[in-house]
Amino acid sequence: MIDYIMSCLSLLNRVSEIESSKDIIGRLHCQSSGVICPLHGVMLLNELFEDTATLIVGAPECVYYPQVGTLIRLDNPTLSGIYTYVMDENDVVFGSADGLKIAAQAVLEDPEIAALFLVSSCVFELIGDDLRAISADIANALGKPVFPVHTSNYDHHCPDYFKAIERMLEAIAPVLSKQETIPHSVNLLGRIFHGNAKGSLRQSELGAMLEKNGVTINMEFPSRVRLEHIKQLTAAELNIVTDRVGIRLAKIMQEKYGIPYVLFESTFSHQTIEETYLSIGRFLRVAWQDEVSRLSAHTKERISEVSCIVEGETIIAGCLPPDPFQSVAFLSKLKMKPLVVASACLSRGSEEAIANLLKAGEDPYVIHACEREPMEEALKTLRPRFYVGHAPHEKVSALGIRHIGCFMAEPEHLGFRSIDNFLLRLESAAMQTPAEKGCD
Amino acid sequence: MPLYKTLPPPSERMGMLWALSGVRDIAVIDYGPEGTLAYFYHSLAHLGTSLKNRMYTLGTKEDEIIFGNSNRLFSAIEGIADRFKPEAIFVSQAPVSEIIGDDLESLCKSAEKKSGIAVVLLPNCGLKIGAEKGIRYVLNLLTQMFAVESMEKDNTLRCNLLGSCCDEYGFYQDAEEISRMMESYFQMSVNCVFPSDCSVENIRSMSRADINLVLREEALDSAILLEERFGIPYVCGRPYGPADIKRWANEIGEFIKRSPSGSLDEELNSAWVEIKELSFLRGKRAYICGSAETAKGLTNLLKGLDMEAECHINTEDRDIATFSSDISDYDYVLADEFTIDKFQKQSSVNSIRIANPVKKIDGPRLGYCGIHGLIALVNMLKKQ
Repeated sequence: MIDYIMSCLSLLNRVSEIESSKDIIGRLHCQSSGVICPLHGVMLLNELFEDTATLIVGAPECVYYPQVGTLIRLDNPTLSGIYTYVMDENDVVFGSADGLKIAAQAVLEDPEIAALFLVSSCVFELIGDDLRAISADIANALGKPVFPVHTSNYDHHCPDYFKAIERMLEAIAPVLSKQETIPHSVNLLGRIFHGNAKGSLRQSELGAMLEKNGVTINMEFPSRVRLEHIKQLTAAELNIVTDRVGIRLAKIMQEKYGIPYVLFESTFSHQTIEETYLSIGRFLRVAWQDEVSRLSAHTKERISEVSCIVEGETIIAGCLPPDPFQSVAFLSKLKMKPLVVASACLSRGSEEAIANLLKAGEDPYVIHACEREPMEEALKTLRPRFYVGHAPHEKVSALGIRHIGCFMAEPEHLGFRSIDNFLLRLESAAMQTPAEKGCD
Repeated sequence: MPLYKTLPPPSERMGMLWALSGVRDIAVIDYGPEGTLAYFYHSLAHLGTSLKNRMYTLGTKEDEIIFGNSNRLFSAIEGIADRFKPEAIFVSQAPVSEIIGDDLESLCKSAEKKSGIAVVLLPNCGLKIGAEKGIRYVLNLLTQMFAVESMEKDNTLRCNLLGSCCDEYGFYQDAEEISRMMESYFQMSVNCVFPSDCSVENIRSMSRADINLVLREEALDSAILLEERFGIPYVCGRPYGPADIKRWANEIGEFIKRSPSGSLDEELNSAWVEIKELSFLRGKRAYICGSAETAKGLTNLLKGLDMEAECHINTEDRDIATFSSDISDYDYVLADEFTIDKFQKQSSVNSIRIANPVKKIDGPRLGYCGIHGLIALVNMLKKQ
């Protein structure tokens, strides 16, 4: 058994061997599961738009599974607004444009539906039908907006469902038109969609800071909304992009309507949070430097306090957000010993984090985030003191490992408070006696 | 028009993977983008089962689609063969990979030669509707491959359950009930539950059975093959309702030259007592939609209770976007939860789940065949 486990680990690459996302798969050249298809994001976002429909075009299984997901998630799935067009071999050989136009027309005949997202998937993209032209034709014929959304799972630029959400938000930009600016107002663009995360960005530290300093939150987007209200987005003075899914829309709004944006994502870098707050302050003419400095100093102090408690402790970690390599680099900054990091792909900032890890003398194994078996084996064999990530709590605790849920999995985990919150959970887990359960 | 408002029909490929999911000691490699397999795992949970073997995805990316990278597939087969030594490796192609047209057949042959383990390329069918065709293909393939040698029989009476597959709601409960009845009426044990819960060794030993019970039409080819190879007789269908149970048990008895034990009549008599309380159902209308065996079986059962039962088979191409609007005329709907939702949106019709998909992944599931299934159905009908 030990041989088997050790050979399980021997199939993994170490951080020092990761040059591209493909290296994360390891030496078996394939993986026992993968990241869920981008169409999952389409399904999630569709739920937030009250009066639009979504027509997904693809192979039978590509459209079957999102519909099953809708059934599971919604009380009344027949009201979901998701329609599917099932491609067959004829569509592949002769193209699907004609059939798709008829299908879209049938959907848009419903007077309750104000617009349509026309969403492609792998097979459609591969055969090269012109989604944009088909959408334009349908829109012209029916007088309702049709938003083309390109998603294909094999596309390097669309590796996961967050990217599909980003593309849907970008696709909706044509309905925007310039509105009168509300002084001292912001939009919060993008939100965490991990693990069905609920909650509002208004409850975050950022939301509280804005409110306290007299800044109006014009819109939190995406949130449950009707199409006509989306126009109101351009009334804001500044866009604060609180998750990467909102970045493309923010860029378009900057280009077309001159609304600047600031990126304020979940992060373990208190310097980045401080700089971002100050940047927002400059845009909105808010003098919150002292308060921001005070919060930053407090977090810095907490990092140093908790570091003394967890120094030298072993940990296995990997979940979003933030980028797992960045999170593990933060753990090494706390002087912990990361043994394994789980990630699905490299993202912006991963390279720097990897360099920092190696500089700190740490070279943990890398497991693909969706590979359950190697992670279970790693937990059993390496027996770290702590584990951060998704897993049944009882199973992890039974191994004598302290399980600390996720890093920052809620929308309100934004700002210094998100770091403080994690440190608090780590600290309380460290203080636990082995017999105690439930650190999260 | 292939437009669907609710659940579109599954493909042949999905049926193949569902059928393979219950067979232990094999490995499956999916040649395609990673999301497909991730969704497949979720589908197993929705179907109330879990994977019993090893399935892998290559996670094909854009550059591999453009330039091809069957080398990685070859390495993956080698790696899995070397590390896990499965009885066979099945290579399935996602719809995207079908279109690229790599020569996987010769690759699989080379990999088989090198690894010494059977490497089987599954046919292209990701764009073809009809999961049941995929299930039929896999059942036939596994029987052809593994049920080859005649194994020595002993004095124990054995049967194989052919066609128990996870795509059907209550497949597990139905197999359990049939096993129980075989034990109780004939002191016969189950040799292989094919393919929802079996090992390759179980399939190899199918020749030891005295009779094959064909639980769905898709397993008929396998039964015929086993009859040709080993002379094992077969009985088709799952029994729904007292008359059907009696007929089914007697048919089995004739083949194995043994009458059902007295417990059959005892159980049927108890069931009749329960059924007599259902006289209030006379003349009521029921809409039944499920897998072929279940829908037909339950329709006959309800007709036997003097209900007006209408049978719909959910594997047929149902365009729910144009679902008829006269659904308020029914008193009962026995179907999947999508269909039930559709009915309940219009009227307060009584409902019983008899088909996938279901909303609660971990909720209780019922099988309706056999005595226990009959009692479960009677109780559900009484509760309404």
